[in-house]
Formats: sequence, structure tokens, C-alpha cells
Amino acid sequence: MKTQVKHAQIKAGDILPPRDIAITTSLIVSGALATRDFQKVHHDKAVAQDSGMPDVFMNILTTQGLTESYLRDWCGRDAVFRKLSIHLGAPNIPGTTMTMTGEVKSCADGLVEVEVVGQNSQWGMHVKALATIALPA
Amino acid sequence: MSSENISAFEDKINAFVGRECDSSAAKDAVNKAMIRHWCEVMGNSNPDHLDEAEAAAGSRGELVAPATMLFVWGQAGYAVAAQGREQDPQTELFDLFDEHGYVGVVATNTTQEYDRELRLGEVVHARTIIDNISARKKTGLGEGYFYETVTEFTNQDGESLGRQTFKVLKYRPGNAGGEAAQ
Repeated sequence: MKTQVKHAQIKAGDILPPRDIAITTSLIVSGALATRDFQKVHHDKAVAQDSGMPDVFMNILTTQGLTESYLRDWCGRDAVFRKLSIHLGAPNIPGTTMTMTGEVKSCADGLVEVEVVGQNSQWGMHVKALATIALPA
Repeated sequence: MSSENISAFEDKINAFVGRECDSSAAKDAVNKAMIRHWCEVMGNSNPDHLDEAEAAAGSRGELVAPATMLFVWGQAGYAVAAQGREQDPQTELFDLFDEHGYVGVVATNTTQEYDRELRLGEVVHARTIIDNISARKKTGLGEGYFYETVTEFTNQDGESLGRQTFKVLKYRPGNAGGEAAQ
């Protein structure tokens, strides 16, 4: 984890380093279980296909977790999450890659708002998130 | 469905708006093992989630749970796959959609607000209400309805921990056309 980010060092328009995440069946199923989500569409391909999807797909709690962890590596250990809004688009399906990018949208009163986009290599925008994070002074 | 049947169906689903789902306490208190298992998969290396000694020496002075685990603590677990969810107004609504052909399900939006970070040993209580159901919509996945729940989280002493809204699309698969799914 990088050096702790201080509020005074951040400004709107700052760009976060991008990250590629390989979307595999292992990640989807392991993420579903780590978030205690046993809906079959996240671990049983036949059930997922019955719902109109080509394969198992990532649950939203894993998307939240990957987003938090991506942001955590940028903001440092002392930062505190206040709010996270997630808008889901295309599914994360095995055999694809999700590229996460981020941009600081505002910075005031000790809080930063950061927009994170997770772009799936085959299906387009998987997630657009807006996080509110308290940074140390 | 005929327009008359659609109207009758929509009366049935709209009767769920405002209903409270069973309030439940998490079976496991906030604990290091579940936090570590989550961090392994999510690639989260924050020592304040993983190392009690290091966390004690840090700015927080103690280990805390990752923020987005807020909803994880109260999940029902494997029973959902083995037996299905326990009946409550949300599962009744879900079944009603299924019975009318809206068998597809996908979460589309969620917002979590965190009042503070969760400490080891806290027991998360969740109280969920079905807040609203949309009009019938054409989406990229098929025709369906969006419904949204609101959940309030407290600890074992009734202290507020945060809240969540969660929006789900129930749709008829393969009935594609119209605007893209959210």
C-alpha cells in the first residue's frame, strides 16, 4: 500500500492509476462466497443461462468490494469511506478483463468524491461508482 | 398478458411497497476470519483490516471491517442455494414476479452510507423495507420492473451503522429491445 494521501495533496481532476482485473469463474464464484451471496446465478452456469446470461456473472457485492479495494490502494490506509454509490451496467462474465479507472470529482471539507469506472473488455461499462472518502488533513 | 391482467398483476406487486421484511441479526459477529477471506478475494491489503497489532498502532487504534462488507454480515448463506430464501415480503414479491414470467434478476444500483467503521465483535442488525417499484419498462435484457429496498443497519445496542438502497430488475429473459438495462 502506498504512502498515505493527505487531503491538501488532492484536487479535482486527479487521475487514479488504472488497474486490469481478469474476470474468471474463480473470481466470480469466490467473490460471491466471500460476500456470502449464494444466489445460484453467481455460481451455477445452467441457472445463469436460464436467466438469459451466457455464464455465471459477478454479484454486486463483489463489484463493491473490488471498487473499495481499488480506491483503498489509492487513498491509503487511514482514509475512511463515507458513501459508495454503484451503478451497474454490463455483466462481468468469465473470460473477460475489467479495467478500473478513477478520477477525483471534488475535494472539500476533508472529503473527496472519486468516480470509478470498471470497463469490461467485451461487454462495455460494468460499473460506474461514486465514492465519498474522508482523508486526513 | 392482456392489459387487464397486467393491471391486476401490477396491483398485486404494488401492494408490497412499504412492507417491512423480517428484521434480522447477523449470525456471525464482525470477525477477523470473514474479513480476511473477503480481503483475499478483493485484493485488499489494508493492515487495518488484516493485522490486529498493526491496526492497534495505526490511526484507528483497532482493527475494523472493510466498508462494503456492511451488507455481507447479515447474508443468509448456503441455505439460499440449498433451500431458497426464507419467506418474507421480498421473497413473496420475487415469487410473484417469477410466477408471471419475470424470472430474470439483476441488481442495477446500490448506494451505501457509512456512519462509522465496524469493530470486531459487533453484531449487525438489518431492517429492510420495500421502498418502491417502477412502472413496467423495456430494457436490453427484456421487459420488467425495477424494485428498490432500503435497509437500515444498527449494532447490538441499537447504534446506527449506516444505510443502503438496493435496486433490482426482475425481467422476462430474451424479450429484448428498447432501452439498455441499467
